[in-house]
Amino acid sequence: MEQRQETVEVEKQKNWTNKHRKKTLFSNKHLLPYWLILPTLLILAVLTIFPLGYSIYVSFQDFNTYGQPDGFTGSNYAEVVTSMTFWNSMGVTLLYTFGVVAFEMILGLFMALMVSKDTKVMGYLRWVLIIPMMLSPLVVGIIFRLMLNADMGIINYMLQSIGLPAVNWLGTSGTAFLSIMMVDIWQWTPMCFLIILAGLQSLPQDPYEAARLDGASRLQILKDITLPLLKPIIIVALVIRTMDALRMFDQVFVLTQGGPGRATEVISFLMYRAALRFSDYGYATAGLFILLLVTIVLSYGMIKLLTRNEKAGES
Amino acid sequence: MEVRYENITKQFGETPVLENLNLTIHDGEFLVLLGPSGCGKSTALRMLAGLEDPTSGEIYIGNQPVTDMEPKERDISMVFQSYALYPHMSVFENITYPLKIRKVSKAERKKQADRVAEILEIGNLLKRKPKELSGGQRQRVALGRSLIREPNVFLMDEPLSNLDAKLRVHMRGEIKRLHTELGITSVYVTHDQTEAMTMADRIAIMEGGHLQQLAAPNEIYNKPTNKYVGGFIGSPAMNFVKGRYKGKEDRLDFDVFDFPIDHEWREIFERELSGDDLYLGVRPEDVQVSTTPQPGAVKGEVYVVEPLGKEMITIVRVGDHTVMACIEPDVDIEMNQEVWLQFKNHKLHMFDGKTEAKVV
Ligand SMILES: Nc1ncnc2c1ncn2[C@@H]1O[C@H](COP(=O)(O)OP(=O)(O)OP(=O)(O)O)[C@@H](O)[C@H]1O
Ligand SMILES: [Mg+2]
Repeated sequence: MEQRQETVEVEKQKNWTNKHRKKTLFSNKHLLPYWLILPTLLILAVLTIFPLGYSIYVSFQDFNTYGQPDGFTGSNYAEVVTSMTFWNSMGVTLLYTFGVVAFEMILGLFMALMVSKDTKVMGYLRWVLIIPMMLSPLVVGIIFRLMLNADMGIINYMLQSIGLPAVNWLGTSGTAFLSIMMVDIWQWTPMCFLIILAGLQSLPQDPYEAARLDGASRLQILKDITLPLLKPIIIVALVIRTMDALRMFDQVFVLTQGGPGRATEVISFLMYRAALRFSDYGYATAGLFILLLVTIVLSYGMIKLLTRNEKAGES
Repeated sequence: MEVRYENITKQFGETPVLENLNLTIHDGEFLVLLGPSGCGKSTALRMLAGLEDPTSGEIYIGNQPVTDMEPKERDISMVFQSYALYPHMSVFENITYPLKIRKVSKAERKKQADRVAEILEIGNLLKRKPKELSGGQRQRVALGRSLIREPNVFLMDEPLSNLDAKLRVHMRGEIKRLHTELGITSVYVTHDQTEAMTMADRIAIMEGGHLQQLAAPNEIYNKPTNKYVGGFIGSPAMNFVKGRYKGKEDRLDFDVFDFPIDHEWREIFERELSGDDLYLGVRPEDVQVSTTPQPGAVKGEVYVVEPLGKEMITIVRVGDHTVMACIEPDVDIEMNQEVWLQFKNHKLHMFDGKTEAKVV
């Protein structure tokens, strides 16, 4: 009985808002905002929408030997998905993305939990940690190239000074892969940290008080209160970092050029080479569109995960 | 369990909130903390719960000092003024969370949730999230979470403030019943005096960081220890008339009327009064209104008449004073009519003009 009354109330409210919305939508006052955002839309169209459309067009073009578009074809995509190098790069990219994002998220979460209470430490830490993010990835890459240098880099120097053997960081597949991951983790863990910290500090405080009275231990509070409340923030950080890591280019460009062999040849680097070295624009854009598709699917999946669990909690 | 506040002082930075609070709550007692907004009621509760540290003093639960204990170790359940529900959990998960922490089996949790939900009339809401509830529904969920277990002490911070009048009366009864059944020491904060009067074993009236009076409801009503308590309890509020003590003339002087006193009263006034000023306090229901002159009555003029159905409130101007009287609803009185007021002598209260403490 009470339930039914409530739904009637909700219906009434809906009707009320609909009525009032209709009235204002067609009045001139309501058009003003669209006029105001028109310049931005134009700039967006020129800078984003047109290039995007053009690159889709390019990805369906056959290119002649002079690098000129030469008629519609679907063979670019066919060529990409049948090439071994592409799938190798896809594997490298996904492994790399999964590795760095997982590491950055866990480390960032851990750090945020450590300092969220201590406002003084946090004040300094925030400034220190923001520095890596402010540097250009290219600069970071160059710094790390110097540090990782097998003969005169500081990392090997330190290893040797404590009696460990020097490592040819960028010379072997495994360590080269780890090296580019390390650079990413160094540069982007702070971002995860900051996002999660901001999230932590915006959480309501009284559920914590309630949980303490209800008898929950610190670990139970973390598991039952903090993490679930933080989930939307964590997913946002996850999506941002995943999208970013999937298109990583700079570290590979500066540190390894995709090598040794093809051990660190991520998709964006592979396609950069295809386009600028071999002028194979069709192949390159097609490959990048497939990467875009992967990015969209992964991000969508993560966002779905967020909303689905929310619904599941209700039932 | 007995709860004791000993010399508790609490400051937030420089601002003092509670000063030297001494308060003992007996085992199994239902104590109501009553006071105006901002007087430190919630702060007092939160210190007992362990969410706030006293600046100085010690709190005891069952003779054990608890100031250094975590909330968890004190085994207290509390209804927060702000509800403090878990936003990501359903109503069911919210109210059974304390049981889940205590590793109670799922079947038992379900049973307890159903029991509590029935008392609080929230059975149809168990699957919803807090954000899908109205304020009053949320408040009942908060109440449910605290009533689902049997702690050492129940703390309730205005747990019914957001309910409609009817539901509030109903819940009042349910809480009182539960308390009688379980016999668990309870501290209940409210600024609704009807709630305080109907539910409390004893009422503690707080104001300005101090405990003003601690006594059973009837005593608080009939023997307020100072002018503040007299004016705070009772609706409509007690009338106060400022006057002077004229000992030599055997009377109290209230400008437009005199109040004769015998030597017994005189002795008391001589002993208790700090100066000559005093307040006469009389409850509206202790004022009699007649339309014809009466011996010893004070003449006044009707200012406003407010019929309330079961009674009628008449505001009468006597010189510069206004006196409120509750009278029978069928008395024929009009605005600006001349009336004669009589105070029931044994129901009068006299308060010191300076210290505002009770004199007689
Ligand atoms: N965390 C805090 N920091 C500073 N001052 C506070 C804090 N909490 C409460 N106060 C102050 O302490 C005083 C008492 O607050 P408290 O919440 O105990 O009042 P209350 O009696 O519960 O009032 P209400 O009936 O409005 O809930 C208020 O003046 C308030 O401004
Ligand atoms: Mg309060």
